[in-house]
Amino acid sequence: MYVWHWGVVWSHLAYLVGGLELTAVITVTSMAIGSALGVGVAGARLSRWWPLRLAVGAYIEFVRGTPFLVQLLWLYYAIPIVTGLNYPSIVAAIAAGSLNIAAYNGELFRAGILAVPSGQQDAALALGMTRWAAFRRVTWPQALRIVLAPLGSTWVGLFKDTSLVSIIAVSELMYRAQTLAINTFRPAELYTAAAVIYFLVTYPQARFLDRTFKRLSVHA
Amino acid sequence: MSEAARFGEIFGHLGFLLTGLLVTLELSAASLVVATLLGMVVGVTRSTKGRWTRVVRLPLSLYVDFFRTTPLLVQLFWIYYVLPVLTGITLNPFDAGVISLGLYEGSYISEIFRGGIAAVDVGQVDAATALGMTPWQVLRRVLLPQAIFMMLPAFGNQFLTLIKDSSLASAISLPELLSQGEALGAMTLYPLEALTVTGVSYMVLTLPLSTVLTLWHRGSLSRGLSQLRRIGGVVETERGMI
Amino acid sequence: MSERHSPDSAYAVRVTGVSKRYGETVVLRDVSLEVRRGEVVVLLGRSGSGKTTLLRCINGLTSVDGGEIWVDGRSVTMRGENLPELRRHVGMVFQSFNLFPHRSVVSNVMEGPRTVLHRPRAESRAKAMELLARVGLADKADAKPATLSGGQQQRVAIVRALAMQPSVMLFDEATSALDPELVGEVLSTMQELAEDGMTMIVVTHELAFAEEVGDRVIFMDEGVIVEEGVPSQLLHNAREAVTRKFLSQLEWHKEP
Repeated sequence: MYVWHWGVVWSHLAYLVGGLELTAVITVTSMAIGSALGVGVAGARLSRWWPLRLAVGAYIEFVRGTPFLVQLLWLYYAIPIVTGLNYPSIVAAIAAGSLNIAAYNGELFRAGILAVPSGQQDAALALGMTRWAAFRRVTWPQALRIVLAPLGSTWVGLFKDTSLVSIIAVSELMYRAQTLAINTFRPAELYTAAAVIYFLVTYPQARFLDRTFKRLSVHA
Repeated sequence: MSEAARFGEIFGHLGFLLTGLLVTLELSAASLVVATLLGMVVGVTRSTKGRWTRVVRLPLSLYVDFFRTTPLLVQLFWIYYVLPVLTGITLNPFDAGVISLGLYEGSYISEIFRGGIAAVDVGQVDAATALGMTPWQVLRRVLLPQAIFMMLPAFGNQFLTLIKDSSLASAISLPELLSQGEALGAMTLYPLEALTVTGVSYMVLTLPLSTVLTLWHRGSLSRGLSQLRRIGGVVETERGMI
Repeated sequence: MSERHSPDSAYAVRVTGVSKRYGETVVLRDVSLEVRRGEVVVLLGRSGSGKTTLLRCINGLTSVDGGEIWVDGRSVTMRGENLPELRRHVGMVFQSFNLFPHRSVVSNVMEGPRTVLHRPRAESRAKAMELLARVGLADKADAKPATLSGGQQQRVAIVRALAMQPSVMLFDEATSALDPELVGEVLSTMQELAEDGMTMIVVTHELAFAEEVGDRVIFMDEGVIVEEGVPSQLLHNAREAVTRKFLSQLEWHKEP
């Protein structure tokens, strides 16, 4: 029978939970940058100029067809080479997260925009709005409401994927759990603690998003 | 050395990468079987309203909620490092990968089953029940045949995700595709090129299925089937009692 | 005395003091009703009056909160009652037909006898074809339901229920979802069924049908039975103001 020594967790709890700070930073930043880029991606995919559509389409296929870990490692090596400077790993983490989210959210935004009935745009234009105003005030808000639920999913997925940046030694929760597990020779307690902490932090987010988006979202 | 030459060096070791690709395929196939069986049992049980399922439904929900809200990496490490400590059974990286991926993807697949079954028109259940079928018969003869058809796209998507998620097994030193790619990068000192070729190799695995799914999606859009059916994303539907 | 089975030759369906609520809303309020063998009872009422709920309680699709229901001497409401077994004797036809889309027409009709009664395939198919012929749809046997018109689908649905040889047939607004020109063919089928002596409880808005085929008409409102009587009386000379108001809203003319 294995004897659990939870003391190891309690004495390092602050350090462990502190790792969530970087987890949050990476998630929020990637989501923000990625979503902003994602709007551009959606626009490119909807443009009439086919080379742009194709190029961005290929980019999306690549992001969606390869593991996030591969993208992360690739950027980890690529950024120093391309810029000639040495950045901390977290830059690669945020870059990978942003580019990944840009592809996924970009496709979501595109689906949402396409799902808004064209009559909405017609009505807005008939009222005298410019195309841009019609998009901003009529199409976009509705598109957003349509894809709110999958957006929530993307957020939760990203939050969990930040655990992968431990592999490039970013000191978030997973990395700290791993370091402690190795140094204290107590993987059982540490990894169980890490799993529980992730669950306690992620589950409420998932439920909250689920409930809010169910109330707010619209079926096309 | 020029870029082309560097890639040349990588391609010289293609066989090395190929062994990794085979391991990825093996791992994915084995995990998919486990995940599908597990997901089917869990998803179907959670969808049935019999008296005897009530007892087992809570632990099943906990399983699904837990495995969907914790990162795969944590689960993988736990299975590989902690389970042997607790049970005394040593696991090789492959087995640990299969168990972990199976449990993780299984939780998602169970939601696909649940969503698919819930998406079948409730009138079907009414009609089958009114004929005198037991809940089990209703499930087998009326619900599942219709649900499976609707579940296929989500299921295909999950399979793609599984192949990509298998790359995490590199973290427990399974010599799968990513692992070999990283090793190749270290050997040749051209990590970027090695990773590029690795990425392309993953594309080779995922592109066929991904294309089929996109075409299917477009096809069903033009046929006017409900495109925003949230299967796999879990939509609770109220259903009359059986 | 409440025995699980009390064979009663006179009554096909017996509803006693049934109540049902959904959360705060009371849908059925102490409803009692008796249907004789071979009788055709028509249930009228606004939507939300409880008529559909009552129908669904009779074959246990919806559970009751209080009261008792007996069909053919079998209890529907007692705990532990084998509902699937009971439902073999009660046929139900739905507003939205609910044919199995992944099966052919004849396969739909065979489904009950095969899966529930475990009859052999050949026998089930023969019976199904015979029933389909009776409603003039034998040539559609191998077609998929989606290729049939609404009226044809509903007639298949009726025949699917009949394949189980039920002693009671329940009709839940069987023609409400049909285009007007298709309503007649379904009502004719229902009329033939009645003339063959089937015990039927029919929820409908088709007042001409109620008058022509019904033996008794029951008007429900807000979960209670407001009034009942023979069609010629209730439909032309209703006692209660509520009933008269409802009938006038259906643009039903008073002249018999």
